[in-house]
Amino acid sequence: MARKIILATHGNFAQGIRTSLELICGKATNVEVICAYMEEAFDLGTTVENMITENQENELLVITDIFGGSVNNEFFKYVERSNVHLVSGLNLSLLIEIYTQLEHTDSLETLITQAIKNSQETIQYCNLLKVKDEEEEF
Amino acid sequence: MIKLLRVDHRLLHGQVAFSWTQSLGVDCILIANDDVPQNDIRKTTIKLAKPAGVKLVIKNIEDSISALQSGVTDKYKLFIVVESVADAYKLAKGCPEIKHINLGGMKVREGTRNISKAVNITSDEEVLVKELVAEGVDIEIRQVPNDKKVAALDAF
Repeated sequence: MARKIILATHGNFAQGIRTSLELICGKATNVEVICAYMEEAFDLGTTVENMITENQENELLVITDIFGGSVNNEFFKYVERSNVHLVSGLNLSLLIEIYTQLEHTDSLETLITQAIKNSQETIQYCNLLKVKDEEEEF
Repeated sequence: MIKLLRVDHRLLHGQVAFSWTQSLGVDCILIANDDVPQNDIRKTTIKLAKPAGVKLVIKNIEDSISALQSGVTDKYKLFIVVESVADAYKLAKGCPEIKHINLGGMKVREGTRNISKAVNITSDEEVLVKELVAEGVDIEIRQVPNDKKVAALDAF
């Protein structure tokens, strides 16, 4: 059973953020993308169904762009399956944290929960930040 | 122990902080630089880039060398970041324990030539690198941990 990340978004966001990931972490071989609605004939239901069917032997970590959006909702149909983990709110901090630890964790559930918590803290209004003045020492 | 010394003109930023800290498994980052200790904006951005759970120490070059020589850093798995080959040379000369240097980012400057993606070097810097390599320091070029290691001398 292999672990795979699937980035699924409206338009080219998924492909774009994968290039950002690769710039920082190097070639990402186990990351697939679904860029929804880029062609007239695009069928979300079939695309997602095929992705799930092809990966029945794999552990899938799906990250979508918008909670409650159509892409997320389509994957939501499969969250009862034990090999499918669905996360919404794709951003680069979240993706890097999950990607870099994917092969090093025993529990995807723990990894995902922690990565969501950490990446939420990276969304900041920087003007209002108070950075600690004191310096750390050895 | 010193895991790696990296040369990056941007010092600590997201790419370095995330990927190198993770892949080296370090618990402490030393920023050795003569400007940052008195440059509040630079200091702030470096503190913001620090990954959670890692200690960050900022010192000028001289104090960095003293700290490394004193033994207070021995208990850490240490990742050192400097902004130039000249600074890396000073640290390596002062601390023979530094055995691995990574050239990660050196911007285009007067008299530089490009030897790798994001690495531009002057002839003076090449001399310093060659001297350290001759003394047994492993000097390699890599932007991110997953890139293929290229020995600096092979790129010259």
